[in-house]
Amino acid sequence: MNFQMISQSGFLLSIAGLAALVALLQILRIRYKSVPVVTNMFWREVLADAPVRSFWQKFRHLWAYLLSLLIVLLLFLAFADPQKIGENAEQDRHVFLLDASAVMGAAKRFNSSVDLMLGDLAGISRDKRRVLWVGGQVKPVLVPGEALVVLKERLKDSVPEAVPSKIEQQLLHLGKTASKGRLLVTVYGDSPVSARVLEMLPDNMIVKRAEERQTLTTNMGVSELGVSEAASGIWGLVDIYFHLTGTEGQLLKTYELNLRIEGQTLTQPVVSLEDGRFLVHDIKADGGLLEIALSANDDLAVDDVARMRLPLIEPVRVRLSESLKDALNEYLAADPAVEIVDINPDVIIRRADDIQDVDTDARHIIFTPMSRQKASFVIATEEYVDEAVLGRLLDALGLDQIDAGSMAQSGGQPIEVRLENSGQRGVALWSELLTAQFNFKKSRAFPIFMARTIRWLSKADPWFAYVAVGEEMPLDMTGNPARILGENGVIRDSLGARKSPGSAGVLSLEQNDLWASLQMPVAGKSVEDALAVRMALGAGMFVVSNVMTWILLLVMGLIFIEWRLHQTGRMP
Amino acid sequence: MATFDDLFDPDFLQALQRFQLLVRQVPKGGRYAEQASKSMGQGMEFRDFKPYNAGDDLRAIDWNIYRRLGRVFIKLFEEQRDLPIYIMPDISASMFMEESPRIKPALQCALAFATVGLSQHDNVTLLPFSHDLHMPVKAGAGKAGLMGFARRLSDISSGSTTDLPGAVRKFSGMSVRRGLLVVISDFFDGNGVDEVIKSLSNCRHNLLLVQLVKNSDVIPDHLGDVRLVDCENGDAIELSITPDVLKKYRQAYDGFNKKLADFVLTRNAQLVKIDADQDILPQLTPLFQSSGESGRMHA
Repeated sequence: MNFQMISQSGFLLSIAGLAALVALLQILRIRYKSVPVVTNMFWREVLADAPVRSFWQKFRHLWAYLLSLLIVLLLFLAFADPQKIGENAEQDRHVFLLDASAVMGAAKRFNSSVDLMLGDLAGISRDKRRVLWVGGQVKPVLVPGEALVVLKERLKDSVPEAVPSKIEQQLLHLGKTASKGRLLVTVYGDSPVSARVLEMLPDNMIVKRAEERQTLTTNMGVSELGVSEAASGIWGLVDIYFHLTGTEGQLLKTYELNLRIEGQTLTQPVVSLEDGRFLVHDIKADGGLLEIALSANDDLAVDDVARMRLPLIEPVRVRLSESLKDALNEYLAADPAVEIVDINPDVIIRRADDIQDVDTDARHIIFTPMSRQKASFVIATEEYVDEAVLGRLLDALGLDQIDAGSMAQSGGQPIEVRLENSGQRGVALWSELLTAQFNFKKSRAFPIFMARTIRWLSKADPWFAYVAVGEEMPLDMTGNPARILGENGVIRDSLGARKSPGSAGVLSLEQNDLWASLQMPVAGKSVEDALAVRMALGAGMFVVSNVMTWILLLVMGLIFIEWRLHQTGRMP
Repeated sequence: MATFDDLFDPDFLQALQRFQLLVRQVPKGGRYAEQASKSMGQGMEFRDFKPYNAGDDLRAIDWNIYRRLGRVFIKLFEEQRDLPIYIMPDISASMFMEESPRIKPALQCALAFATVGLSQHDNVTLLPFSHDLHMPVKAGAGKAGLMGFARRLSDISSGSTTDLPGAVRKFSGMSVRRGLLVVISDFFDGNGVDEVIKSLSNCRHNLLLVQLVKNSDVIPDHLGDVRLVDCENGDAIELSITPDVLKKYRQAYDGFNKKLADFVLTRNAQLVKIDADQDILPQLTPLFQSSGESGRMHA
């Protein structure tokens, strides 16, 4: 039987309690139908043999009571999710997930959840219980065989973390690793679990919630914070976007909103969009730390502040070969992102024969005669370029703007792009493209190509549209590979996989530091949650199993019999 | 409740004309009528001979016997007198209850007895009773009084409780001529059947008990936990009725009927059971002795 959190004595006490309850109901169940009769002189004579059931009299219909008791006990057993005894019970494993995400940061919520879990664990064999802390990271805090006092010590002074819930991910992970036997998972916390996740779990994994979710009632927080290149197109400026969401009925006007960069209040106007969305235009991208804070005491404090490191966007240092100055100087001078220098360039633009700049660390745009380069454009990348990357790459270089057909027709040569894997980025193209033969230099696509290529080749610090705790890092806006460093400087994503910041705070990259913040929708009542709450402590879960189905059918049969007996007068 | 039209149904009354009421023993006294009495007198029916004594009516001498035997005998004739008929219909609340109340067949029975009695020039007196005996109503002599009698019956309204012993005692205390007492009732008396029998035993009249019964008396259709409320006194008893309980009820009901039956046997009275849900006329017919097209009922 699946009375997961109840001892044998508790089970027997429950049955005794039900029996007493049914007895009480049976005693109290005196529903007389008033019937006028011509005389009751004959009924009086039988009264001695058929006394009415009164409060303290013995049951005259003991079997009727027993039938009722049997129905109630069968229902009790059915709702306790009975399984075949002895078949799999020994293989059952219990996993208790302690939700330590930000939603548990409401006052005393986390502590009450811990207390409930400790109480439940006391009734389970120590060899079968396993407790996982599900915060920014998932870590075991009690493994099978450990005493409960160990868990208490580990959870002492612990507090929930400012991270989104990982309960769903952990359930999916447990589902993938579930072996033979039943895996009984109990969730202690308020993080929602969607029906989609539950459907993905294997049949031998049974998940329940320890108690009803306590949703936030009075809360507002920063749910989104991001940055993008300025819509005005001004070089070195960015726009900021943020979204404030609250529980139902919460009004933003009751909060004080503060926007600061490196402690200085922002002077730019905040443009309010609909539904709690805001924009701030033309913020200088100087790498400052942006902070958005809501000042009010609500249910959850951790989502009242969000921080983000603004990008550091500086002009690209470009050295232009003498042989190309006449042809390209006017284009580069018009680009505000370009600073023409003679020393320490980020990008060198030269002809193939200008060999004085070959050995520098700068990246190159090389104009090569057609006779020495088969393809019109040769692009060297540091990474393997698949189809998806190729599309982004052509866009990044502005090659998607080129009218290749027209160029090929006017130049009498096919226009081709070739990719090469190399240790450094670089672009090589025909020097003849600068001539009138190909009608490229005079086209609208040429300055775009030059500007974008220079930016792609520059070594600007990587920056991201947003950095949210628990969410996968987006693509770097500069296209440069960004690697996250651990505390000791070790690259955490050495394989190049995109990572998620585990907690709010500084996120170190090879090139610079970012700031990750909690950006989490408020967990209100509207959030979908399909996780069933167990019926009662010790009563297991309401999960229809084969045994339960048969028991319920039996109960229905007994109820029909009882009804039939009542109708035919064989049972009062 | 029976209306006047219900009671004074021409077909019903026509059918009653065929019947004649005949009592086994007509009390002495009274006026000349059609009941054969034990008294010898100036009747039409020859009864016996007796030797002449001084003072006998010379008109009764049988001269044929005198011629043959030389002795003087007097012919004795059966004297026909009237029979006082006292009809006591039960008008307690129980008679008015149920979907088809017993009061209608009860009053029809009363009218039947009155019709037959009046057609035989008997004295008919109506004595309704419930918790007490109501004021006696004497029907007009002869068939002319029948309509008035029916109107009296139709005017009867429901009484309260049943006290048949009290009513019989009160009636016995009246100084009326002995006659036939017809009690029409369900005999459901709160005093108990023993008390009813005791009171009837002390009654000096000939007794004819008409018991109105129903199938529901024999097999009640109540089951389960019920509060049975007596329609007459409002007393309620609470019972859990099961088939076993019904069996015991049946035993009690049969015991009640047996006591009534035993009583009429020992008292030389008569008990007639009338099913209140059926037409009463066919049920009354067997009670009357056939005489050509007419019938005479022995009481």
